Amino acid sequence: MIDPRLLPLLPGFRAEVAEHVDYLQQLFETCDSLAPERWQADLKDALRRAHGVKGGALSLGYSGLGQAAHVLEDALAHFQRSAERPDSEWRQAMYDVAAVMRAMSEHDPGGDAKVGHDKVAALAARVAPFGPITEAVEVAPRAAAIRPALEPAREATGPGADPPNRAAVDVVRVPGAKLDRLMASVGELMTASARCGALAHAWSQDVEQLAEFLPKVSPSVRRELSAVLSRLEHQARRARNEQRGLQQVVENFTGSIKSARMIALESEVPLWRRTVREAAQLVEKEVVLHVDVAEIELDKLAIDQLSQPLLHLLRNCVDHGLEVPEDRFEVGKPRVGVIEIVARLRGTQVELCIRDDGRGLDRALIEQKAVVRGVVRAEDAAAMDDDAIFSLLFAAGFSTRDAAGPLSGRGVGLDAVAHAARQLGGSARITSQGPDSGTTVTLLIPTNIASIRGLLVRAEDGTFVLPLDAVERVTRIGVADVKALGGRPVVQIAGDAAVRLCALPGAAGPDAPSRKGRFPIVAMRRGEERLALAVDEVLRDADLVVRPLPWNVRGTPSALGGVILDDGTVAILMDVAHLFETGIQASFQSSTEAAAPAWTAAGETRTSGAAAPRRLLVVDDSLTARALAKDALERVGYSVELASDGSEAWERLQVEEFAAVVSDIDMPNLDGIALTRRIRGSARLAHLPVLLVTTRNAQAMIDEGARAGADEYVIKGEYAMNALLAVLARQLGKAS
Amino acid sequence: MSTEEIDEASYARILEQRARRLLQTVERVEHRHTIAVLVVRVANDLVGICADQLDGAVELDTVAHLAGAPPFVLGLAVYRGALVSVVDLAAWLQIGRVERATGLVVVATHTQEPVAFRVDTIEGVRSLPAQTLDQSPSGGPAPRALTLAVTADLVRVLDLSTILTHPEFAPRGRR
Repeated sequence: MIDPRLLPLLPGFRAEVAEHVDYLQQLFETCDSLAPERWQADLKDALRRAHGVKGGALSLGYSGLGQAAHVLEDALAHFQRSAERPDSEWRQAMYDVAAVMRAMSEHDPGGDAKVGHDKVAALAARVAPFGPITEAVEVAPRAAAIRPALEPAREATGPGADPPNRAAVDVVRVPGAKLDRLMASVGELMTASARCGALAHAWSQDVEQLAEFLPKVSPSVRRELSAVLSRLEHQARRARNEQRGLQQVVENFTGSIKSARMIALESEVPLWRRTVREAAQLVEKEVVLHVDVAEIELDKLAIDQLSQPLLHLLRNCVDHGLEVPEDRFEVGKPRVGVIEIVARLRGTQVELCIRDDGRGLDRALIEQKAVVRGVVRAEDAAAMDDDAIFSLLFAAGFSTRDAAGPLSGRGVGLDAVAHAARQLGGSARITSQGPDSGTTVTLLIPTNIASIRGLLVRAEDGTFVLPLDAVERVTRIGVADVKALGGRPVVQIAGDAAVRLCALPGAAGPDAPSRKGRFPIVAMRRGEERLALAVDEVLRDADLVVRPLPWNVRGTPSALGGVILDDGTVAILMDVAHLFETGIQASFQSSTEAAAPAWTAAGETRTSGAAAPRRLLVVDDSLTARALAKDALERVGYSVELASDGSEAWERLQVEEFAAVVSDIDMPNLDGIALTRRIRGSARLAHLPVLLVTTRNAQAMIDEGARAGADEYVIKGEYAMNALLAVLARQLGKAS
Repeated sequence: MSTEEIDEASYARILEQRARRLLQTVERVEHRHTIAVLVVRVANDLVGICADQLDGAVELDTVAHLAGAPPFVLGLAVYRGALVSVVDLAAWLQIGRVERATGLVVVATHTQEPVAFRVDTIEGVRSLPAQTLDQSPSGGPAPRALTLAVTADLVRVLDLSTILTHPEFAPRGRR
């Protein structure tokens, strides 16, 4: 009797076996024609697949299949070790066993032992002279508990053998790309249906308008016109009803497609287990993996995107998080380390926690590495809370290790996980309770990422979608409600603490002439962070089909996708995480609290303005940075002069005229902050725009720059030049 | 008539005539192998694009600005029910910039996905001999657009595929 809990896993397992067998049989057919390197690579892959089948089979109680896969694995390992190619007899023998594996998988666990025993035995006899090659096969404890006594293998397939389980044919494997295309078509259908609705509505309105003329025409014309209008009204009503029916069908269809895209997280478990086992063997640690992801499903795209980063993370846990058995023993822990993966549904999101009971995060070490690598300044790091320090581990290439090991240490794992979570519209957080208390990485992933419930808002630059689960409230404020704190605009909503205020791309600033009265803001939350976003208009909330960005702009930091609206225009789905990050990099305009704060467009990195050539002084001690800045600025029409430090810049400022100064901060002789102070202290130069550009994204640095009198602050990095061009255009526009 | 009966001068004349006829045949064959080139105006320059690299041309009423995209990307629009990025061809070629994002675009496809190039006007279609467009990229850094030919009236015929596969064209997306 098979454990009923295993039944849902069987269709997926059968499909997996079929896929592996297809691969193996094709390899045996074509191996003669493969180049040596390709043969070795494919052989390795074949071994992995045979091993995968064995592991899955034994977990499910397929003892015969496990044995067959083991024998095949031995045969493959023999050829890997000997570097020989199998002759035709060997190839046939392995091919037959692969076929037997497929036939076995079509039976229920337990029934497989009766199938193709002679073929397996024949291959085993061929392999035997080469001695034991891979570890012996054992029935997994889980399967053993289900069926304590496995029947001995009986005769091969034949009239007496059990028929294959026909339930297998109920599972149809559909390539993911086909589902994606289907989903895209559904999106178009939704759009077309909505447009039909809008047309029917417009038609009704036209009829009503025409009806207003009835009293003004002669009775005979009125009769004729009235009859025509009645028919038109009837048809318009019918069209509206038909469209509602169509809309319902489309919604049902959408629901079915979304459901078809959902994949059980459980399907990834074998891969997780294998990865942990292999990683543990490699670094000689003892690890057990506990998984509790029952009944949690995620969109296919989410599974695809998270799969590899999660494997990185698991390897990281084994290699980096868990101690070697001796060290664990010394601190009173069991020798066997534990990794736990737990998934829970939290509203419309899945919370996926990956915990280990290892050494935990060493705040001091992370801080030290971050300072050494110039990610933060020592004094800033000291002021950061644990969460902020730990989140530095998500930065690309950041690792606390001095050298990369075979499994981790390249600073890739956590970065990849956070990036994947963000791309899916989710988030990642890393926490640790202290030394020796383990580490937890928590991912929040939307359950369905093909469609989203979003708030449609408008700014001058177009229509935008804000994910509704990040929206806290929508309200209106007046210009007088905008205050400055640390040189940055903030607003207080309903007596709560002051919240950073920024604007959607193109939205008017608080002091713009168009902002005469009150204007709408959207209060947003991400974890503990809050942000107020000024918009020009709040339109409505709606279920929206999100399409990926076109291929050449995929990965644009501010946007996660696009939505085609009923009127055929495009709304941009904003990346909430990026909104918060660009909000953090808010520009400042004044060193005084009372002055009007600068208006920062969240996510804005557009190049604009720069119509008239202006003479700029670029100050940087890095030759490369100077050359890059000069090239980029001259390309858009600026005239650029260079200085290699603050002293040289100061000398040139005494005798030459510039429209603005773009300066690095860390420089020998006279740094950017000191240069700014001198400029502000000079009666002639006091109003010269000064833009500070640096790699340091630290509040203390921003505040120091603001106090010195800098106008804006741009963080170096990807698209930083676009941001610089935008703020230059803004500053020079202001100055003129 | 046997060759022995023809004098040397006549023999040479006959051979020359045959050679000329052969040459005319070759020229006729070569001229039949022409390629249709769509000529568009971009920032006062005439640019030719091989028609077989294009999917269509449409007038776009709306283009949604995409903050954070490279400067030559004007935004996103809808083309045949799909999202498409709109690229300012003048900006990409570094010869100018369109005044507004909306307007005429020619649409090319790359790995079955469309990309729209904003142009000022379509000037017409020319047929150019294929051999004149047979260029291959030289060594060195990838050009922002390989020029296949420049016609007598200064139409610069571009190889669109060099744009679509240029590293800066899709800096983060897949190529």
